[in-house]
Amino acid sequence: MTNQVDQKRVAQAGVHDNPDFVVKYLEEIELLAENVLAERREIIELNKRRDKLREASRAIRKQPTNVKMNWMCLNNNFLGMSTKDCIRLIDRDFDQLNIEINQAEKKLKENIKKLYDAEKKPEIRGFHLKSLSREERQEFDQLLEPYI
Amino acid sequence: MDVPSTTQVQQVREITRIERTGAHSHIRGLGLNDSLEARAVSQGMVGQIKARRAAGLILEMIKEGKIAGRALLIAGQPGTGKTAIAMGIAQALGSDTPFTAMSGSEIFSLEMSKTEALTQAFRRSIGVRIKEEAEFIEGEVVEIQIDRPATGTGAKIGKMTLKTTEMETIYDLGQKMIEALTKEKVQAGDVIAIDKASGKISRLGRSFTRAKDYDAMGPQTKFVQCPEGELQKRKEVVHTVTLHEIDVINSRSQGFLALFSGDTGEIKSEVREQINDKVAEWREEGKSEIVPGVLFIDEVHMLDIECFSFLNRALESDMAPILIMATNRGITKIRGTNQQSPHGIPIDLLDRLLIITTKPYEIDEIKQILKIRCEEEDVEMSDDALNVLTKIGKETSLRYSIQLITLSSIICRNRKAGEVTVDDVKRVYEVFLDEARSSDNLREYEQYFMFNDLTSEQPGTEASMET
Repeated sequence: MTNQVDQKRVAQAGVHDNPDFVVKYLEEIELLAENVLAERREIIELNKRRDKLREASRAIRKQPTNVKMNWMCLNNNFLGMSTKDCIRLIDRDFDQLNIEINQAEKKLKENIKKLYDAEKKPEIRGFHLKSLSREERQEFDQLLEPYI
Repeated sequence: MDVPSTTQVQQVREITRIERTGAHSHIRGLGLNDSLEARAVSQGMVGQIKARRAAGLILEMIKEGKIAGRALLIAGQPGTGKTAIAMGIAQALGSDTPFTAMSGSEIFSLEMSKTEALTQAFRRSIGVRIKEEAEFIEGEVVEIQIDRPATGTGAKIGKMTLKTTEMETIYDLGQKMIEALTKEKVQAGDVIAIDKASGKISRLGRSFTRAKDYDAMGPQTKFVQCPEGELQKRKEVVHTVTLHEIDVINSRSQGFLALFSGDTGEIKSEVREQINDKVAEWREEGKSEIVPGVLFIDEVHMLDIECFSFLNRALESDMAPILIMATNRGITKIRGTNQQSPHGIPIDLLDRLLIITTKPYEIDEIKQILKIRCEEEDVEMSDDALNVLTKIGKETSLRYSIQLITLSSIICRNRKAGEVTVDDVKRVYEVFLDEARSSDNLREYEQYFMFNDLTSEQPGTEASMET
């Protein structure tokens, strides 16, 4: 009888008397948090690469137009290619990185949601809403112009 | 994955604001446990187990937010905790859900019609959540290099190096950006944020690492930390506004001022319809969220028959909040008619309501409430004094004994003691009369009062006796 009362009181206090359970719980939370942090780092790395590509693209375009061949460095090899091809490759990689960064950000949001769920924290308000772009907000004002 | 559910920590109320104690300021919530059973004394609420349990069920319904247009009536004698339950619901909902409290007679105003006042009250209780996103480039300026062409004409060209704690890169500047930077007087060491969509530059401050660059600086210099993470960030801001605020801002050119002055006037229904359509369209696309809240009308017997008919219709719309009404009248005349009806509310509206009744308190519940009020008003009271006060509360009224608490504490402070004793309470009891003693006093000395009316019989009874 007293055991039941004790257990009820312990459960109400938010404490678990079983250490294995607590360790398992902490393990799973740490795993989810690790995913979130890893995703953040990856986004930063992708951003660094994208910026470098952008600088390269600007530099190549600023060259005088008579330079027909550029040297591109891949790992340990230098490849000599026409300027046109270089520009094409750089732009292609740039676009690819943009897509990858967007995907990584989406994944980050999902991981954060999982972490919040596991920690039993209340959901962030408006988390799943799609954002309004600036034009849509201004659309609103234009709609009501005739009535003001 | 099965994670154990830890019981949630009760939200600690921030004690940063010093508030004057009000009649219901000791209420922090409904005081229910996880299975929605009311605890005897919890979160400032005492007793009224059934009514609180019913309120807890309504609370769950409100939190889910899916069912609109429900109405609730809390009926009971004066001083039985009707307003307290409504306050409990408001506190339990938190600051997220719009909660509008008003009294029945607030509807009647010269500035706007009754239906307009009710419509505004309804729309003040519905919140809309939208999210705006913007892409920023935020970083500390390492170096700005602007070259002017050697000939007088021609575009300037420029380069700017921005860095954060993790990365650093060079940006080529166009003509307009160079102008904007020069206008903002951006220097190396400033932390700036550039909005990618509009190109607006905002200076956030100067970096801490550059604090020692100069010995004397202007008065507006603010120091901030170097930003972390990536340079190009996406920020999302969530706004929660009520439909009423959207109406007001969009119905006049200086709309936002009207929100503060309260002089909103009548808002055209076309404006409201446009806004409803837009918000509904966004809701379909997943871009907005409707947060239905609670409208609490106290003394609802003061509304007249037109308002009640309006309420019938308004509750049918899908943008209607949960309506909670409270009244202490029994069978009375509906205002605007000669009909009698329970609580002064027409039967067709009563049919749509869920009704909760509150009962008068028992003696130990009164004692608990007085104890909670003593704590709230910061008054130390001896046990004898508390017992006397409880007896007074049972015989006269709860509100009267609550008011005696602060008064007796003043007397106690005057004689420089720490604790209120029975004598203090007796003194205040003699000085201030409650309702029963005052009416006895009136009857005894009626002839000395001016314009006293107690001698004339009621004309209605005479007439009925004659016929």
